[in-house]
Amino acid sequence: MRKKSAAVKEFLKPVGDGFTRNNPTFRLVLGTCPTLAVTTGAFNGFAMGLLTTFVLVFSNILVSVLSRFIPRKVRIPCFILIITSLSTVTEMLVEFISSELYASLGIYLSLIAVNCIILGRAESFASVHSPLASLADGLGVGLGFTASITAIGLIRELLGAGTFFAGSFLGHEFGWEISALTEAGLPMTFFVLPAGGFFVFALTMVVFNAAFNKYNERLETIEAHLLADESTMVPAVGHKEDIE
Amino acid sequence: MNVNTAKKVRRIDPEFLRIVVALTVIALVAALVLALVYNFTVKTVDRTAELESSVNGLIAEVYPGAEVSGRLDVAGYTAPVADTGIDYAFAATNGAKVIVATAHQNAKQCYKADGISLFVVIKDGKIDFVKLYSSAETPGLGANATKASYLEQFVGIDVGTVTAAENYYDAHTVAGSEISKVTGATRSTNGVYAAVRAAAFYYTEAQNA
Repeated sequence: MRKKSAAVKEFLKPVGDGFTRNNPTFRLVLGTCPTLAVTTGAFNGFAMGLLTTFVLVFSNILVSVLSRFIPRKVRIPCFILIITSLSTVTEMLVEFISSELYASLGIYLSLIAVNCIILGRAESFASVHSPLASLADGLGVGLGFTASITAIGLIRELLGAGTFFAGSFLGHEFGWEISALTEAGLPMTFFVLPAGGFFVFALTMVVFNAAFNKYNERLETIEAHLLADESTMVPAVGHKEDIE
Repeated sequence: MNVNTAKKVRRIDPEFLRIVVALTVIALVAALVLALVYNFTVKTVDRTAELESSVNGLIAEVYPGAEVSGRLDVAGYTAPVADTGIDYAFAATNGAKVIVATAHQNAKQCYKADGISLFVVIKDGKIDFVKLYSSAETPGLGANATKASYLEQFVGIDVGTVTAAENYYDAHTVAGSEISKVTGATRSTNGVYAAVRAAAFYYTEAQNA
């Protein structure tokens, strides 16, 4: 039972790290090209994040399984071959399923192939870890990326267009227009333009890192206190040698 | 001779062979997967691209200067016209709507199982253009009802007139309009009218939404 829960913890740790310490957008600052380009709306960011997660998870698993057969000298070309094939498959499937989504993601869909997050995780993590750990890492980093660019998209969409999660998929149109914002004349086109993208990206990165650092400091303080307590603590029931 | 060959074989570096094999195998598997996915998706992708190009061409033809502004939601919509469906709908920048409506075969409409699909262009509550999208009606007879010369009779008719014409199966002339049925192609004519009616209902619903 304890073994099982330890395995689950081990699996979940990289997933959680993908959102926090290994967050590709705010901590590793990887994949900034799609982060700035497709986050004019939350739905675009969400869809791009999920598609990147799909490629990341499968490329991590494949790289992890195949790395022992791939000669070290040609590992990078092999990884690139795997990643580009997966991203091309993803692109073809998106065009097949939803031409609207394909059109709205545009060239950035093809550019998943050269997203640094994917090659970075393949080289630094998947090639030296087991398939299960690589799956967890891909899932964590991918979902962390998805959450980050969806958040940036939400802010830009709200401030730039006065809508919330507006989009169209499989012939369904969805989203809400925030009438209070439009009536107040708040939506500013600046936020859906590239300059607004840089601005919101920088602001969210500052907020995320400030919060993360504060959390880390608190954690370190607690750990330091615990260590100090442990060293001064007298065992309640001492060992024989201690008593002697 | 044999000694030379043996020497040549010995000279091949096993590491080089491993590299060649690894790259070749991965490239072959990748090519196979890509070919399979391409084969699976190409028909639908081509059909969608063709449809979008047809709608763009149609809008440019009917309203020079206007263009398609986006797709409309058709999922889950059922027109109150028996055996019809709305396949796609597009909005144009000038407020017009291009609706792709299909009449499916039943005892009174459409001679062939494929049915009749039409592009119906409506703006400001009036039909501005009707064009055949796809049909397999009998050439020479049923196909007469899908010819441009027949379909252009719908131009200028109010959507309200079309949606109100419930007796169109039995009447020789559709109530409120001067559209007469093609002799010997009653079922095809009914199919055309049913598709136009479905588009008119969808347009009314979309305007009210």
